[in-house]
Amino acid sequence: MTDENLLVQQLKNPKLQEEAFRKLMQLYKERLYWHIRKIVLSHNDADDVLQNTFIKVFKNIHNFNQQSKLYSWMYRIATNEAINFINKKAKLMNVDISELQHKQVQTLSTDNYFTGDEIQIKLQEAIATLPQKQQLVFNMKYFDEMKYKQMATILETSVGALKASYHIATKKIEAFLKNN
Amino acid sequence: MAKVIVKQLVKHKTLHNNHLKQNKFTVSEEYFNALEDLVITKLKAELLNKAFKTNTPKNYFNNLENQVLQKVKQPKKSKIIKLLIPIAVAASLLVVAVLSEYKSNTESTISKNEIENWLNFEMVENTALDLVATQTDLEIEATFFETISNEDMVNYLNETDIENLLYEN
Repeated sequence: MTDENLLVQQLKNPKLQEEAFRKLMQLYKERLYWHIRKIVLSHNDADDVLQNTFIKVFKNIHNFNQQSKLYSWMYRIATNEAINFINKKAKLMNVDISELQHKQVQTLSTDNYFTGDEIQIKLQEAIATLPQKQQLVFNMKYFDEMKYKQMATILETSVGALKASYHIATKKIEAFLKNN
Repeated sequence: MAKVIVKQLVKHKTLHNNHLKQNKFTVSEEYFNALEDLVITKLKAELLNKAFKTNTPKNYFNNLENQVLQKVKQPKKSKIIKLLIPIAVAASLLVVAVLSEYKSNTESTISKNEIENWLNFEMVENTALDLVATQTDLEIEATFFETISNEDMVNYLNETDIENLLYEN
């Protein structure tokens, strides 16, 4: 039995659940956090989403049928939670998502938890102009250097569609940086 | 630096630049250390809250507003009733007292026969002096005497039979 299978079994066992859950968080919290952070940009928002992600993982572990890797399943939950969070925030503020993301990028220059320079802020501005799914593909490929096959499992999209999406995203960003 | 990168972008038409790829988002060192405890506590709180909710009666929250509103409305009515009750009791007692007094008065009435008998057999001389003595509350107008002169009085007495006066009175 692999380590992952053992961990999943422990997570499903009420007696061993808490200990196994702590181990799960230790293993994956940072990777999930940075993935979420690139989507929501703010640390406080990323913290909320990460906590919600782990709670959702705990509550739904019995539904995990191990057809994919545990990390891919958790990554998908984190992605959905982050997107739902942004959508909800935009609705509360009565603005559309692109306007919300534009406002959030504007605050990066004064954010204590962002140390990027002018061009790096410009890059974030360029990413914010992309459609939501293209943003995800770009972040996962460009910053996380994830394999297309793993991205396909997480985003439930074919490898070909992901490659096309990434190609279009990079062209748009390059054009934005040159023109702005 | 920015101008250099943009020049590179224009020249190579590529984003594959190590500087751009750097993750410039940061977080405090302590954040990840406390995360497990925070999530576990939050999870336990949620499960506890769920346990409380399942122990409440069915439709409890649906009916709660109506129940509270009914209780809020009641005190106004009961206050009025509380004020009226003693007044009503006092009024009832008063009526009873008055009625009982009236009854006691009516019970002590003397029959007609008894009055007639008393008048026929035990009546005292009903002289004018007795009438005056008994009728002390009679008020005779002072002006009555002022308008009758002495001469008029003498003439009247001369003209009138004294015995008739006695019989009339």
